[in-house]
Amino acid sequence: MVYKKNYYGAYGGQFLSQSLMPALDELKSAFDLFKKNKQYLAEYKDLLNNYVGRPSPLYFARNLSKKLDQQIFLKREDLNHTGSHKINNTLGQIILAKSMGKTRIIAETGAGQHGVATATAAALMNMECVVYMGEEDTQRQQPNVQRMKLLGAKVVPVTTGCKTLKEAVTETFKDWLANQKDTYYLLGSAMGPAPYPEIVKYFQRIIGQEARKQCKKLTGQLPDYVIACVGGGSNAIGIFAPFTQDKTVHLIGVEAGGHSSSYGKHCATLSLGKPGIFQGSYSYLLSTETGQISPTHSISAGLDYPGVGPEHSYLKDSKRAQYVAVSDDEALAAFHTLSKEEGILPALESSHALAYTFKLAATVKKNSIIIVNLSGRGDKDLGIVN
Amino acid sequence: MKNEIIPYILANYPDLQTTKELLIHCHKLGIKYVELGIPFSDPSADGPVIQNAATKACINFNFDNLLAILLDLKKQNINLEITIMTYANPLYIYGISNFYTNFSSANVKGLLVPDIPFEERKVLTRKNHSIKNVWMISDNLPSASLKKIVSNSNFYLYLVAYLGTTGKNIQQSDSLKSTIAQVKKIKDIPVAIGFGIKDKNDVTNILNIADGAIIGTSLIIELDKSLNSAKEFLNNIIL
Ligand SMILES: Cc1ncc(COP(=O)(O)O)c(C=O)c1O
Repeated sequence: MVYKKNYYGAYGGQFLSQSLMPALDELKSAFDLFKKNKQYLAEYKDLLNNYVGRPSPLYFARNLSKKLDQQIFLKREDLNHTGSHKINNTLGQIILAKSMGKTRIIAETGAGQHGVATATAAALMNMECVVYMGEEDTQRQQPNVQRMKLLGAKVVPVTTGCKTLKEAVTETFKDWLANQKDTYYLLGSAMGPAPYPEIVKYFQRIIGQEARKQCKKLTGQLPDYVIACVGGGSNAIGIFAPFTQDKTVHLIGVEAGGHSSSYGKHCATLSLGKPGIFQGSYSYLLSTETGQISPTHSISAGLDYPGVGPEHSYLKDSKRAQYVAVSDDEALAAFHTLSKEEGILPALESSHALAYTFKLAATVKKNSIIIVNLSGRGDKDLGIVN
Repeated sequence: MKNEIIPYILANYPDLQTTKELLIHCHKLGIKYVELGIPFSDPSADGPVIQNAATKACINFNFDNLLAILLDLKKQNINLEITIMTYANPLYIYGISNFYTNFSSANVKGLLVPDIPFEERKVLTRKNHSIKNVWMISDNLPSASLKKIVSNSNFYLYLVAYLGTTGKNIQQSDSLKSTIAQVKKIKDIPVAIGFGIKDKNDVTNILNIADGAIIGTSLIIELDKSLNSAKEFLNNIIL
């Protein structure tokens, strides 16, 4: 395995304040026990099956496939309870939190999908829940703010900096620093300090495990391409992980190209950034020549982040995965295409993966098997696309 | 280090000329140690006051302009012992070897990086330079980690007064005292306390138990009024 002592190759680590090291150690020990505990694993599996509705279908997109002359399959994470892949992770981590005796759950959220999934898990387990969300995101993803409140969570709008995901992450770490005794930080993507990237991957890899089996069953083969959008990188690592040893399968991560490739207008971290140290790990990062963190832009709140999980940096450098970017406009067009062609409203995050799929379809061998991770549904985005 | 008041000065806030004047003033007051903060866009260890100041100060900050000022002060024989406090990314992008080479010739004696814990010290390790790492400790560290950190320190230790961000209220606590006692048992090394030290009274209390008291947020609040208020604030605390 590539993962060694908190690092994926050169990337990863635990770049946080010394005072949080005991909390990370405690988390790591609890996670090691969790993975060996049959009862916790059974509870998790039961929730995935009967609460989330797993396995999620691998749907053969019949109209798109015909139109593009390819075999397009959609991994339907949008059909999960709460409407995205985020719930796979929050249910796992909340059992972990309970096993540690924590009583209070805190989380960051961008699009609000992770916030909703955390609030849902906390409601289910009867735990106090506080979600930090950039003020700009509370406005552009209003329906999710309402959902979190209905689920009993407290939503704290963050007004510093760009008022988006990175500020929400910083505020959540600050809360954790002060309240680590009784509080569990339920991080929403495969990023941050070790062991979070491993924990989140562990709970999201179910996406790829199912997709791999389903694809073999439906086509008799492995896919030629697996495509996912990349914010922090959790839905992508979840679907990539079970395929990394299958050398014929191309793994493609799609980042948000925003308006353009100029400063502040995008969040294509792997495509346009370089390695740096931020929010817990050494990984690709968008920062200025003096090391300040760059402002970012994306039409999709869930991708609007200047960093990326460390394993993606490793997969990029080792060339096991390829990372590309598509623009706001291309993602929007893909949103409409999927809605009209297949009757599925995709999340704007997932629309990035679709947009690249459409481009790719025109350039690769006809009849290729392409799996797209449809990480979430688009209901939350109606205010933006209209 | 014994009985030292250590001002935290945020570089380039509101501009480098002010930083320079404050450093000169510290020297005039007989202050020996200064913690000089590099502004960062996303300061995760700081409360609202320093965070707001840093988001402004980081906009046109660069290390080389600061270096020029420090070299100039040295030329004027203003020899403070400076610890640079910077978050990891500005330092990493500037280049760690670069930093050691350039800043060791400018009276910089220590380097403190709040988001590089002792466990990740490899990132900071370079051969042949005189700048020493200042590690942060807190009362929640297991004694094994404390022992490793203390035995590997050779300048002073930065004990955070509470778990949280800068600018809250310090609580007199027995746990600070006992952490210091634990440190001294491992090694005879100075301990400075920072976070939440607001006024002369806090300073006096802290210097009863520690070798240094770091004062940051209050100084910035005064600086927001005027450079003169900041100077007077320092005068009152020192004299
Ligand atoms: C539907 C959906 N997809 C993708 C993402 C991006 O996150 P990640 O890269 O961790 O999958 C989000 C984040 O909010 C999301 O809501």
